[in-house]
Amino acid sequence: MSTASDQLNDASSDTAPTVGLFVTCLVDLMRPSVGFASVKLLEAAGCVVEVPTTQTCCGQPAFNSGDTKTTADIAKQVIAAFESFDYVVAPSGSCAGMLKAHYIELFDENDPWHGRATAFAARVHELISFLTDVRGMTDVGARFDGTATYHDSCSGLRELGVKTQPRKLLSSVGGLTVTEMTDCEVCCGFGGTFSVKYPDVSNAIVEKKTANISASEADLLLAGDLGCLFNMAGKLKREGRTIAVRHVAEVLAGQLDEPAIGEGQDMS
Amino acid sequence: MPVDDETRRTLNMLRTSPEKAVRVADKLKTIRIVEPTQVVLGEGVYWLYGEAELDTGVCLESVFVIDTGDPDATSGTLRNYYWWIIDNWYPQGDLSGLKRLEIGEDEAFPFRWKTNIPLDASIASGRHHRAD
Repeated sequence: MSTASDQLNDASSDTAPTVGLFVTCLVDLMRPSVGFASVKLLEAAGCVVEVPTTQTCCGQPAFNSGDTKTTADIAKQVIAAFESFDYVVAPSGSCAGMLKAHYIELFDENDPWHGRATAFAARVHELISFLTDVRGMTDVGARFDGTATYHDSCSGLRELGVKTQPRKLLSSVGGLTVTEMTDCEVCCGFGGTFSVKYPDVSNAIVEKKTANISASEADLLLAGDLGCLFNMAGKLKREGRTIAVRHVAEVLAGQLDEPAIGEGQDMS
Repeated sequence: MPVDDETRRTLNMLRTSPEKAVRVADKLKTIRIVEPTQVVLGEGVYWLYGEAELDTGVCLESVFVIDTGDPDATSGTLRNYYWWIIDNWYPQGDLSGLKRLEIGEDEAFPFRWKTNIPLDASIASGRHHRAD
């Protein structure tokens, strides 16, 4: 049986869309395996992938701290680096949400950059929703024997509407059962600068989240944002829970050579 | 008047963990999460989960911001409140949530309120008469 990705791979390279992969800071610095998994999935979906070396942070930490001047400077750099591609894809709902929903807010309507930011935003997608909604992927051809539960990250869910897409692709992974945790749509407590500004509140939120994860009896926690995943993995580790934590792209791409997040590291 | 993301996260935390309270305790406004069996006078500002019963009898999940005062305080005050209506938080003074319930201001006030964690008698919950 040929999969959607097989069919897409058969397409002529002349018609293959170009994708600029927005790697994100956390993937680049903390978990590069997610970037390689993203490339594998995008190529399987028939895309020609490039990783512009001039890309930087999306500017979200500055934006969330009220520094719109610095954020606008970063936005110009990012737009210039990516506007030649058919699509801009990020393995993070948080960073993709910043590019798609907030860059436009940084420029006055009379500023030429407003038009460039608007055109840019129309081409930006979160990785998994791009694979399903734009490229029509339904089967990734991967295998993972186990039970996973999926956390819906705030920005991906609320800014970009990412909800069914990862579950749809995970249902095509052989051997994998997805079980829903209670309150899977509730924030994990990370929230970028929130966890730094309000550590006690953040800890109370993630404590509830890890209790729900544990109660799901899954042996694997998945999500589409590394910030959330690091936050939950850290708490799970400190609580002595043994559930593995991975970015959803790693499972979908069948790239599981890297130890699960936090494994083999002392996070106490 | 939407509730900002940071406040929303804090309100959601109290809604899912009503046994907890947010305490803003000192001059640096340090925020701590505590689980008191009772909130007493003179311990700064508390954010507490509870319930508001509108004049019409409709009950709303709520978070109440209560100033218990300085250590020598003799009374506490309800400083602010938030209502959870359908799928969103609405701050004090924002009546758009009530409109979603087709409840007029005159039907909502005064409302009775009560916190999940009991208050000391001197800061006892009671009736609130105004929207702002």
